[in-house]
Parts: sequence; structure tokens; C-alpha cells
Amino acid sequence: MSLNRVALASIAACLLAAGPGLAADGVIEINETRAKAGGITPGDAPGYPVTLSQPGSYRLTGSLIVTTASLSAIEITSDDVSLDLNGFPLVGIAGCNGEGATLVCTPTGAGVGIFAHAREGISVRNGFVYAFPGGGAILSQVEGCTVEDVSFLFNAGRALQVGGSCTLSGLVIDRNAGEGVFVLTNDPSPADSPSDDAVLRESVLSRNRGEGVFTTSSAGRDRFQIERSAISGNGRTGADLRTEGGLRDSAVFGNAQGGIRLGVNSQDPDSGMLRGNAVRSNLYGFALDPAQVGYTHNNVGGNTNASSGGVQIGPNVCEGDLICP
Amino acid sequence: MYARALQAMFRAAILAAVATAPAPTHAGDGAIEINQTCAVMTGCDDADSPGFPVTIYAGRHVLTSDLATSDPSQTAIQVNGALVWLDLQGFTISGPTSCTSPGPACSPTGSGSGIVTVSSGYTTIVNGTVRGFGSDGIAVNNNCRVQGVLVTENGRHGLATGLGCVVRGVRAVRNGSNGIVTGANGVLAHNLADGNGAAGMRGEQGSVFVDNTSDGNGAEGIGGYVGGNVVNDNHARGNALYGIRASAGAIVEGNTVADNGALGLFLNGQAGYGFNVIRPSATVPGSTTVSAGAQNLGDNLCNGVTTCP
Repeated sequence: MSLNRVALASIAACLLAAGPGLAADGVIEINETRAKAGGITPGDAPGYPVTLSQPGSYRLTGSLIVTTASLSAIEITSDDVSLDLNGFPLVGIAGCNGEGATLVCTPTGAGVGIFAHAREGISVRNGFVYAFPGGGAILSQVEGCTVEDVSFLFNAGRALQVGGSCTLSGLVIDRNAGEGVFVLTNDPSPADSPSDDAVLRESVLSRNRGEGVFTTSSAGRDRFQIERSAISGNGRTGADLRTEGGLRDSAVFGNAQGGIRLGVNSQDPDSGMLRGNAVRSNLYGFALDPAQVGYTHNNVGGNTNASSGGVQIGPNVCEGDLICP
Repeated sequence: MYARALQAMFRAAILAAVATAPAPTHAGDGAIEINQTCAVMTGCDDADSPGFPVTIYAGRHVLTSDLATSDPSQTAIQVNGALVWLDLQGFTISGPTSCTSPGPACSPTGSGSGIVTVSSGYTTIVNGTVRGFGSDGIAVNNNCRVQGVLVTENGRHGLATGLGCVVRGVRAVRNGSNGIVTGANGVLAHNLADGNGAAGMRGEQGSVFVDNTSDGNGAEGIGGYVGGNVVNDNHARGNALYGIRASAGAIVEGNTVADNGALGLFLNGQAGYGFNVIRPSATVPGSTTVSAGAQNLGDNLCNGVTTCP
């Protein structure tokens, strides 16, 4: 047998072993029919959730609709999984009324759109996660993730939870019953310590019942940066960062319990910076650690209550003039 | 009630779509294909009738050819459902309108748009061109995402969106009214607006404009209305009115503003500005740098000096 024939036979064997859902480009396809059949990866039982137990690239080729409140659509149990929603939605059964602090979604349950726990190298792109009773994408303690160009809408829990070292961009997160983005970093492993920096860019976080963004850390000195984003109409604080971090070039508008908290109620004295933001029409503009958070070139005005804390390290506009607390 | 009704409508639509056996219009990746042949002859989706507009309801749709209409009051694609992802795949949706500079003067005008959403939201549109419609190039509702699209020579706006949209990498060129106009609390980044009849780009309260270029438009280059906008790191040059206009609570920082017909920065007294380079037009009477009363945060260069206005 020639080398080419050996190679061809090997490739053919791999394709057969991979099953009928392997596209010509090597990506494993996921759709409703395959979800019901099971076997997308080893250990994937028929029905939901679709279990992705092996590293690789996966792509939706149809919408996934989950009609049981306790079941998730996709569960990732392996590191290094790339999931392209390919423009399709994951759809649950929650329904919501109201917005911001008055948003109510039913039913609640354990089922989420995408679930992973304590994994690394997860990416999710290009689609919608809609109306799940337990939340949108719960990537709990997932380090090194990427979430891009995904809309999280009308989920009955938090929209998106990630760990450290994640890049989030192009997100539309509207009217979820928990936080818009929840970041919990608690990986003290030497490979990750002392930093688990993460960033959220060019995203809309609006009308969620919880905070637009909430970050907290139980280990290390992690940092979360928000850039070029619009955070508005959320039922609690627009951005409550209980890690090191900052906001830059972002609009924080009309959040029910305040605009920005940074370094307040943190376990450690967290430092941070606010620069180039417009913070308006919130309960208060900002509440900052009095010594470790600096702010400059922001416009903070039209808020109900006064701002507090922080160190003015350059000029700002506060309530229409250049005198700030 | 609206949100619940919308969700019920969407779920019914998507359940129907999933329950229907795959038709010849489904691409290999599961998307529903839209092309000129199905638009005119057969209908492109299960619930779409032959003829324009192509009506789509839910899920991923891809263009597999250019689409062309000849009536300025005819819409090409109408989105009737929620959670639609429309990938133009580099193709062009075109109508009969053309626009010539200066002005621009667009003819014929009418009520047709390239893509319009009706009673729905959460639409994503990517990767293609929408040219020559009698009204808007693209008109989409709330919480949309529009990326990598050229909208040009449409009789009214190039792109009009509802609130809470992400607009990135859009080029709006020579449309009859605004290049890009958005509702509140949106993000506009890395866009270009050139030679449109009104503003290059406009947004309402809480909008973020970053890293955009707006040149040669018929009103302001970039306009942040109502209040609380961020207008940072943009370029506005040669616009007929202001370079940048912003309301109370805005921060205007890091911009390059030159050769505009009136003020470089036309700002409310409660707006702040810093780190900008502002140069008035040498040839337009009344062209100046910054409106009096706005809050100067320093580090601006106004017509060659660091004292502004």
C-alpha cells in the first residue's frame, strides 16, 4: 500500500470514527436532530444537554430549543473547546416582563444555555442565548475564555459568568434576571497568579435586573477592564468591580443603584482607574476606594446622589463644573 | 406584555421552522439561503411568498447572490421575527436610487429599504453592501448588531437602529440623510461616514462613539444627543456644520476635528472636552473651534494654540 493510500485510509478512518456530524472542514456540527440522537462526543446521551467532552471545534447548524426548565442546551466538559453558534439561537422556555429592577422572568430552573465548570480555553461566538431558566452562559471558573458577538436576552438568571483571563467583546446583553456579566476569579494556581486579567469591550449591557457587570475575586489580585461599552438601565449598579480594574471610554447611564463601584467592599484594597467615561442619571455617579482608585477626564453629572471616594488625579466634570468630591 | 408577546411569537416561529423538513433553500451549514431566484420565483423561506420583500422570521440566513429591486418603494428583505442573523456574505442588495455629490442629491426616492425589521428586535446583520434604496439602507430595531456593512446611496439614512445596538465596521457613504443614526445606549466603533446629506452619525443618550471617522457630511460629523454620551478618539473633518456636537454630560476626548463649516466642537455647557486637536476651516466664514461655556479639561490644541476656545 502506498504512503498516499495509507494516508487516505487513515483520514477515512478518522472521518468514520468522528461520525456523521463532522463537516468537511473538520468542525463537528450540532443541531436539533443530532442533539436528540446523542453521541456528538463520547458520553453525550440522547437529548439535552449536548455534552462536548473532547477538545475541538464545534458549530451549530440549526437552532437548539430546550423545553425543560432543568436542562441545559450545551455542557462543555473538556478544555480547549471552540463553539461557533453560527448565527443560530439557543432557546429556553423562560418568559420575562418588565426591565431593570422590575424585570421578572419565569420559570426559573437549573437549565442554562451553555455550562462549563473549571475548564480552560473555551470560546463561544456568533449567536444568541435566549430565555433560559437558569441563565445564559455559565462558564464557572473557566479561565482563558473568549466570548464574542453573542446576544444574551431574557434569561431568568445571570446572562454570562466567566472566570479570569477572558476576553468579552461585541456582546448585547439585555433584560436578563441576574447580572449582565458576572466574573468570579478564584484560581490561585501558580500558572495564573497573581493576575487573572480580563476585559470587556464594545458591548451593550442594558436593563438587566442585577448589576450590568459584577466582578469579585477570592484569590490573587485580578483585574477586570471595561472599555468602550454602554451600560444602562440595569436594576442594580452599572459596574460593581470588587477586583482591581477600571472603566475607560464607556457610558454608564440610568442604573437604579448607582453608576460605578470600584474597590468598595473588596476583600483586598483594590486599585483602579476611571478615564474618559460619561456617568449620568444613576442613583449616584461613583463610589470608589478612597485611596486606591484614581479618576480623570470623566463627566459625572445628573445623578440623584453625590459621588464618593477616589482620588482626582486630573480634571473631571462633576455636576456641570470642574469641582469634584 | 410586549416582551412576552414577542417571545411567544418568536418561539412559535422558530418551532415551526425547526419542525419543517429541510427545503432546498437550506444551505449546507443549516442556514436558509436568500438569492435573487428564490426572491422572485419561489420564496426563500417556508413562509415567504414569491416576490419582494423576502420575508424572514428566525435563525440564520445567508445571501447566496446579489439581490436587486427596481422600485424605490420596494423593500428587499423584511425581518418579521426575532433573533435573526443575516449574513450578506459579501453580496450586494441594491435598489434603483443613486446619489450624487454634493448634497448628496438622491433620485428616485421612495419608501423602500434594503433591510427593515418589523415588530421585532435582536437582529444581527453582517458582511455586505446595501445600496440604492428609496428610503433607508438598513432600518433595524432594538438590541441589534450591525458589522462590516457598506450602506451607500440610499434616499434617507444609511443605517437607522433602535436602542442598545452594537455598530462596528460600518461604512455609510453618500446617503440622502444621516449616515448612521442610532437610539440610546448604543456602541458605535470603527465606522466611517462620508458625504451623507445630514449628520455622519448620530446617537441619543448614553451612546458611545469611539474610533470613528466622519468626513464631508451635510450637518455635524458626529452628534451625541440628549446627554451622557462618550465621543472619544474620532476624526471629524470637512463637515458642513459642526465637527462634533454633544449634549450635557458628554465627554469628548482624543478627537481630531478639522475644517468643519461651523464650530469644531459644539458642546453643551455641561459637556467636558480634553486632548482634542481642533482646527477651524480657513475658507468658511464662521468656522471656529469650540463653543463657549463647555468644560475645558485641558490638553486641547485649538487652531494652533493651547488656549480654547
